[in-house]
Order: sequence, then structure tokens, then C-alpha cells
Amino acid sequence: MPPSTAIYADGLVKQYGSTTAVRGVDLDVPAGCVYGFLGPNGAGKTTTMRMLTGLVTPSTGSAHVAGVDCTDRERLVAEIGLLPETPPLYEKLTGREQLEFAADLRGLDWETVADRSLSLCADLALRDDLDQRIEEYSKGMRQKAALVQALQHDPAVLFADEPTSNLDPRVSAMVRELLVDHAEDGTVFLSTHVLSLVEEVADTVGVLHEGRIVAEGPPEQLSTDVGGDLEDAFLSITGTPEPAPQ
Amino acid sequence: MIRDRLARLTGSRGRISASHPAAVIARTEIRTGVRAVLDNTRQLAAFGLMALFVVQMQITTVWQALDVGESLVASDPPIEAVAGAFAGLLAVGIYSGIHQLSTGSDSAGVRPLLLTSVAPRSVVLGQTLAEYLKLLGLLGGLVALPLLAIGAGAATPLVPLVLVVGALPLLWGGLLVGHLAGLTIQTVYRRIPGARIVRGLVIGGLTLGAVIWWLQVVETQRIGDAASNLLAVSSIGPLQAYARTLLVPVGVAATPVDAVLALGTLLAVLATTAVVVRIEIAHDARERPQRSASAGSRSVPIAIGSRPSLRLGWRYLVLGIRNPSRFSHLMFLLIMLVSVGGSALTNPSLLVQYAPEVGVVLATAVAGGAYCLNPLGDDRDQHPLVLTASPTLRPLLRARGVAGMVLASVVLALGLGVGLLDGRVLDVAGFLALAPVLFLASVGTALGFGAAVPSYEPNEDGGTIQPSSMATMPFLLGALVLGSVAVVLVLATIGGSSARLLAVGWGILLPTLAASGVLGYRYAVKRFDGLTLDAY
Repeated sequence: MPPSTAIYADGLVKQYGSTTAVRGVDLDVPAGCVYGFLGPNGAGKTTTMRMLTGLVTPSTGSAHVAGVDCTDRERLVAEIGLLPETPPLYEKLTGREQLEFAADLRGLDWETVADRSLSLCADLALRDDLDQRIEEYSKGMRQKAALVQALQHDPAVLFADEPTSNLDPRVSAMVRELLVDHAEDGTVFLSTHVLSLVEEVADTVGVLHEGRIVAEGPPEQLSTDVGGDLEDAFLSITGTPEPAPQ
Repeated sequence: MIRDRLARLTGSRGRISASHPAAVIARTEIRTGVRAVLDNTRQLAAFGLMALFVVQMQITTVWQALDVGESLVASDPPIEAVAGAFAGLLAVGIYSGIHQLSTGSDSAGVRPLLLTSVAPRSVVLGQTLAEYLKLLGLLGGLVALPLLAIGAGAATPLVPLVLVVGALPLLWGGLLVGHLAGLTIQTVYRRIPGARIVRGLVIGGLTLGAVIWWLQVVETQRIGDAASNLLAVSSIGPLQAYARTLLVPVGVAATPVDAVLALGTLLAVLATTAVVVRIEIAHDARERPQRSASAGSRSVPIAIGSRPSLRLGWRYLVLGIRNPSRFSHLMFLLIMLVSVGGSALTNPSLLVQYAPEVGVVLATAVAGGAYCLNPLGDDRDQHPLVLTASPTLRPLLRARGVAGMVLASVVLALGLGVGLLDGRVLDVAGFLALAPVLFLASVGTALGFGAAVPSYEPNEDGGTIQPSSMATMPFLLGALVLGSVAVVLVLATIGGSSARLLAVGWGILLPTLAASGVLGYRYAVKRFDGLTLDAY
């Protein structure tokens, strides 16, 4: 695996009993890019992301993130930041306490990450709300707090699952900007259903269907291949649903 | 119009009854409840173990139940005992009602659907009915064999039959009174000014006071105090009349006053139903703006330093204070405290006499019990953060231990403080010297239990995930036993007991504590460092 590779996966498979959620995913994501990870519901995106972040163990196959084996969680955690679909936050902490908690968890001195954290909060217009309890946050504010939490230690690879869900268009634009900024010296693995977001920020797109990557390339290339936009490409690749019988 | 359309669709021409949706809700809640148990191997195993225990318990009471059955058809039936059993049934109903109201219904998640689909009365009735049927099933399982034995003893199935028939309205009434009590507690809780912990302490204090008052009443009643006898007659009297009237078909004599009182009891149950359902509907409909909890952020005090386990421990303390429901699994200790408190009030010198010992024993249980019995389960929502943030979960596990030991130190300080006031300096010094050993062992052992039987399943209403009872009960009982043994050994050592006996005692206790603490901690680290989301 070349040093410029941020994420490398070789035949990742995940089985839950008799159900195969992921059927052999191969990835080679270079450092310094935004990788858009698309797929219909149930395609295996979340499971793949969980394997890449060490949250679940692959049934077979292997994966490396920033050169670290994904099953070696002890070393992996230093390289990654994760923004899951449901923000992992304590309702009873304030935003500031939550961020300090995450820093303590990583064994980081708050002073060393405070500048970056607060600057990210300012970028996301969250700074004035940091002393409110998270139970009083709106869904969008929770999402923003979770994003800062995932980025405050400046990870080599950020895994983001639907980072703009619940956000209004203005904050959504701020998040897009943050993702692009992070990809300047890091990598972003972006799983989403928002095709316009992928079109705007992703350098490469991988389409997962029924547990396998069925198409990969720059978004404009996928669009050109089907002679439409990314939505047309997505529907063409994953199959347009049959119309309901009348 | 919608009603008409519905009637056309269902083919019904008459009025759509409110009881039908209530039955649907009850049936669905029971079905989902049963499936939740059947789908969870751990719960199923716990249920199986409980069933074995219940069967064993029932077998031991068969002879007694035969005697009860025989005496109920004799010339002087034990009506007081039957009334007492009915009073117990009422108490079970009340407790269950309060408990259900505080933990929320299993269908809390679909409540918006229910409230926008059927009349509020049906929702309240349906959920209460489901709760009632579940309780009935549970109690039925508990008393099935003794009831059969009562029938055999009485030589007629009529006796158990009338007892069951008589119990049904009382259990229902108790449940609704429990709801009323729960609603009252919730309302008082909301109206008390101050932080959540202050409100919790006030409510806890009031509840404790009420229980202690009741224990005092029971105590004085035994002595035969006139005022408390009057109270006893007014509360148990109608139940005795109810029992006598109920047992008329099996030959018990009842007066017209008994019949009137029995009828009054049934009417009271009906009236309670009507009133409580109305109150619950009004309670559901009332908009309650969330009280602002913003007291600002609390940074970790500088004195705590930079060790992650200490800093995280501070956070857990803050979380516990802001959300005391994290400690609800320690209710067992509270019950023990109440019984000790009750005895102490009837004999106040006990409070001073045994405060240091009780303090040590309770603190031992609190040290591990507070935060370590489900160290990752109750943080399930944080797993994506916790598991991707730290190379090892050691700091997190230690942090929970630290937080538990801080709470335990408060309990210990209270107990030993009273001991000091009583002039027991040597005893207090002895307890103080042993406390760190007990605390560390408690934390390590609790972590081990929490790792062996973790609980990751949230309630459907998304409440705090509580530790498994398979971890909680053995741990708390073990902590109470070992803590008591340690107390006895400290006192024996200070009192100058036989050196050989002391050597044997300490020689067994200390290695047991060390082994249990160290092995528990190591097991927890190993288990949780390897944790993935595959675990659930």
C-alpha cells in the first residue's frame, strides 16, 4: 500500500449470521481527497464504515486506514475521527463539557485543542451555545457539536455519515466548507444520500450496491457515462425501482 | 364524518367504542413485551431462573397454603390474614403503578401515533390495562400453586376462585392509586425550585419520611396505641369487611355493614378509575416547557490535574448528579437504608450505635455499584466516540471507579462522622484504614461483573440503560456480605480477639478482596478493549 493511500480495503466481507451485509469491498482512497460513498438504503455503507473505523470486525478481508490495520484499534484511534449518523453526545453535558470530555478521552490536554475546537465552533456558529446543555440543543446543533468533536484532534481521516442531515442550508454550506478544508491536509470519507453534496465536494465517488462497489470514479465521469447528472448515474447503477402496480 | 367513513369501511353501523382501541393497545403492548423477552437470551435466562426460584418457593409454601385453605372453611376463618393479603396486593399495585409511571410505558415511542389516532381515554385505559394484565400474569405465576393448595385444603375450588375474583378489582385500584401517587410525585418534583439533584433529594427525603412514618405506625400498633389502632381499623377495616363478604359463598358470616363496606370498596375502585383517568388525560395534555437546565459549563477543577482517568471521573460525577436515574439500580441499598432508618427511629440510639458500620458496608457497595456495574452499556450511544477515541478503555474504566469511590467516600464520611461524635476514634481509624482496600476491591469486582454480563439494551422510551440484574444483585449482596465481614474483623481486631481467629479471618478476607478486585478489573479491561459493535 503506497504511503499516499489514506484508506485501503481488500475484499472486506461482513456477515451477520446467514445475512451478508458487505460482500467484498475493495477501496483505494488517496490521501487529501473527499471520497463520496453512495448507495441505496441497506447497501452496506454503515457496516463498511464501521469496519473501517474498527467498530466491527470484518468477517474476512482486511483494511488499513492511514497505514494502520483497522483491527488494531489501539493505533487506529489516533488517525481517525468519526461523525456517525446519530451524534454520540451526552444529553446532560454542555457543548463545551462534551468537547472537553472527548479531548480527555483521547488523552489530549484541552488547552492544546481548545483553539482548534473553538475555531471550528465559530465556523459552525456554535460558539455562543457552548455553555448550554446538549439536551437543549436542536438536531442541527447536535450535529455541529458532533462534527467539532470528530475534527478537534485533526484526524488523518474523517469518517462522516450524513454530516449535513438536520442542517439548514446556511449551516450545510459551512459544513461543506469544513469538509473541503479538512481534505487539504487530511482525507474525508463521506457517506451520504445527498447527491448534491457529493457532486460539490467529492473528488471520487464509490457506489455501493448489495454489499459491493459497483462503480467508482470522479462524479462528473459517472454522470458523463450515463449522459445525465449524478442522480441519473446513481439510479442507472443501482437500478431504478419498479413502478408500483396500478 | 371520519367516524362515518370508518364505520363504512369496517362495516360497523353502531358507535365505535372507546374500549376497542384500549384493548388493541393493551394487546399490542403485551405482545411486544413478550417478544422483547423472547428475543433476548439474557432476559429469557433470567426469566427462567426466576421461574425456577418461584416454583421452589411455591413448593415450600404448599403445606402452609393447605392449612390456610382448611382454616378458611372452619368455624373461625382468619379474616385478618385475608384482609392483610388484600392490603399487600394493594401495595403491590401501588408500587407497580408508581414504578410504571416513573419508567414510562414500553410504547412511549409510539405515543404520538396513539394520541393522534384514538381518544386520550383509550390510550390511558389501554396502557393501564396492559400494565394490569402483565402484573396479573406475574402474580398469577407466583401464587398459582398456593392457590391450588388452598383449594385442596378447603376441599372446594370455590375458595381460591372467590379469592382471585376479589383480588382483581383491588389490584386494579392499587395500580391506579399508584399512578395518582406517581403523578403527584412528578408534579411536586417539577414545582420544587433548584437543581435536579436537590429536587431528587427532597422527593427522596419525603418518600423516606413517609416510609419511616409508616414503619413507626406499624411498630406502635403492635404495642396497642389507641390512635394507631384507630388508623389500622380505618385502613384495614373495609378490607376485612370486603374479605368477609367475599367469603360468604363458602360459609363465612358477614353483616349488612360488611356488605355495605364491600360495596363501598368496589365503588371506590370505580371512582378512582374515573378520577385517575381524567387526571392522566389532563396531565398528558398539559404542555410542560422544559425547565432551563443551563447552569453553564463546569470545567474540570485545576486541582484534579491532567490524568485522564481523574478528569473523566469528574465528568461522570457531574453526569450522575445531573441525571440521578443513572443510580436507580441501587434501589436495593435504599430499601436496606429505609429498614435501618425505620428501626433507628423507633430506637434512635441505633442510629448512632451502628452508623459507622452501616456507613462502611454501604460505601463498599456504592464504590463499585454506582458506576461500574455496566461500564459501557449505559454509554451505548457514546460507543462510536468512545471506541474510536482511545487506544484502551483503561482510563474510562478507572474514571468510573474514581467517580464511584468519591460517592462512596461521602457515604463513609457520614457514617464515620457519627462514629467520631460518639467517641469511637479507634473504630473509625480502623474502618478508615480498611476503606481503600474495600473500595478498590468493590470497583474491580463490579467492573468484572459489568464486563461478564453487560446490558446494552435501551428501553423503548430511550431511558438510561440499567445494569443487568444478574450483575447487580450478586454484586450488591456480595459487597454487603464482604463489607460486613470486614467490619466484624476490624472490630474484632480492635477488641483484641483471638490472634489465630483473626489471622484466619484476615487471611481469607484480604486475598479474596484482592483476587476479586484485580481479576475483575483485568477481565473488564480485556473484554472492553476488544469490544466491537458486534457485541449487540
